[in-house]
Amino acid sequence: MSHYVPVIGLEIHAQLLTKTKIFCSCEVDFGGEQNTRCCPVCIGLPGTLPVLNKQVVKYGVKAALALNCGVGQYTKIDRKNYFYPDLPKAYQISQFDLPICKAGKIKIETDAGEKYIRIHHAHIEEDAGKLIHDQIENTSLADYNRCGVPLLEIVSEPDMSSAEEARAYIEKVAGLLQYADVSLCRMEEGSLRADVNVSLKRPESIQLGTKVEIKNLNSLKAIVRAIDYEIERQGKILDAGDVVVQETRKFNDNRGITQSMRSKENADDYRYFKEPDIIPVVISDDEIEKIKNEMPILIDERVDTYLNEYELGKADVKILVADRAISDFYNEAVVYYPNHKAVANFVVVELLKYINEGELKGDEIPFTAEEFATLVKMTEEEVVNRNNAKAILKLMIDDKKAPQVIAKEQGFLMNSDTSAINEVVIGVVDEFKEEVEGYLAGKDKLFGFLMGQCTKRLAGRANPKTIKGILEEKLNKLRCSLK
Amino acid sequence: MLDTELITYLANLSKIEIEEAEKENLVSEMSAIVDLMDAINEISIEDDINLNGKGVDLESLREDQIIESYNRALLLTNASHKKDGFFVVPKIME
Repeated sequence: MSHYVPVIGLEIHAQLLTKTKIFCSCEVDFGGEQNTRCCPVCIGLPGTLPVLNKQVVKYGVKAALALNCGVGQYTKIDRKNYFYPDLPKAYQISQFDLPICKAGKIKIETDAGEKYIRIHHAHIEEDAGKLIHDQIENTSLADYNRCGVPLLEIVSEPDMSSAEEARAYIEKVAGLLQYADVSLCRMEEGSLRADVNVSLKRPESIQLGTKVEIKNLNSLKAIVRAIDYEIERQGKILDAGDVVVQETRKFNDNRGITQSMRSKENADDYRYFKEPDIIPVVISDDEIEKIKNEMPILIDERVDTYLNEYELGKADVKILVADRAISDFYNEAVVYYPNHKAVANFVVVELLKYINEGELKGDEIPFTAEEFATLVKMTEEEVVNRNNAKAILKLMIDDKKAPQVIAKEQGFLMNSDTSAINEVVIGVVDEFKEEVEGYLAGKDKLFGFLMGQCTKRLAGRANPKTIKGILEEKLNKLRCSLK
Repeated sequence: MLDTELITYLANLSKIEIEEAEKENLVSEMSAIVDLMDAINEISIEDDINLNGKGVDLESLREDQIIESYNRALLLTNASHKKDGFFVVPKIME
């Protein structure tokens, strides 16, 4: 297939973090019983009027700034007409030629190096409802709770040429929007979805091939698989001398293939026109400046601080910034214990284990960053050993107690009282006379054995360095007395 | 150019039925409407946009504050087909 170059473009839909819908004051929330978060605007009753949510426009401006796009300072709302019962008005209120975010570009990194992906534009629009197909009655059931949920659709130029680049682009866009406080961008919760356009062309050709659109992909894995499958499918068609049909396809996750959607006839004829019920919005320079000043520290700046100021490893930095909540937690923890590397290591190795296994959510960590920092500090200062620190972390999650309290309750505190250690060392030397003699006769390896016996008896309650010192001292004394 | 073929196409998109006999008449009516639109299109609004925007200021838009949604039973009053709190529509094939 190497004789074709894949040309890939993406449309990403990100749900904006507002409390209410884009054109009415119904609450935006996941779940809820069918049709309980609706009003006459949501269900498209005649005579109702949409009223634009200020916060949606503000988030649009924030997104433009985060995505390096120009802000559409005169932005217009349009109607996009299509007939499908998930949309009770028979049109979607969206934007067409004067969107909130104008062109821009963002940098992605893959194993092949850096690359810029251009963004054509991004616009605000309303989500549609959900249809459930009733097998018994041979009907469809409509739930309009999601109607009017505000979305930002980010349309890229067809600048990607592999599934890996598409993945890197989505991760970058999601990161930028998360960090700008615009969207949660959680694919698994439906706050981020993507449509993919794929076509193939010959390397020497300037003209693009016929494109196929794959709709509603809701996991990164599905996106990568769908693109790879589609590249292979189209390559085979072209190899056989046939032509690719321009169409919309859906991805079958179980079978790992894309399938033609017997979709609405002439669906692309959306007959956009200006939404007569909503006046265009004017955004002044001052307002943009104000929003700019409210922007949190974005992902690129954090990467820079972590790499150059904190001197963390590249791999750790990538993991830390992958989830905004984790990066925020880390930033707070290092305020309490500024050992940047140790805290980063504990987050990446220990804390993320629970998050990756789904036991914890990044934004629902049941202890404070200060408590976490205290635990790292206790470990670094050898107040508890690393193994016990892991156990303490588990108990902080389960029992929600402070690390100092747990360490004390569980007897994890290292014993700085040398008399107790002394006692154990004397006991071991008495019990393992043969090994002691062997060591004194020059078998150095036996020191490890004796050390192990002492550590075992102290069961992680004493600092290994202290034990080692006392054991060495005891053995040296014996050696002298033999001479 | 407007012709009976385009009228048929538009009727199909709009999911409405039009009698064959009506089509010729609709062609002339629609042509008049399109001519009017063309006349409107010739007016330059570029200057308007650049001069004062003629738009609403960001700050005067609706605040993001929740108002309780409607009672579901009330919303479903006008629906001809309903079931378990859903609107029922003819089966949609994917």
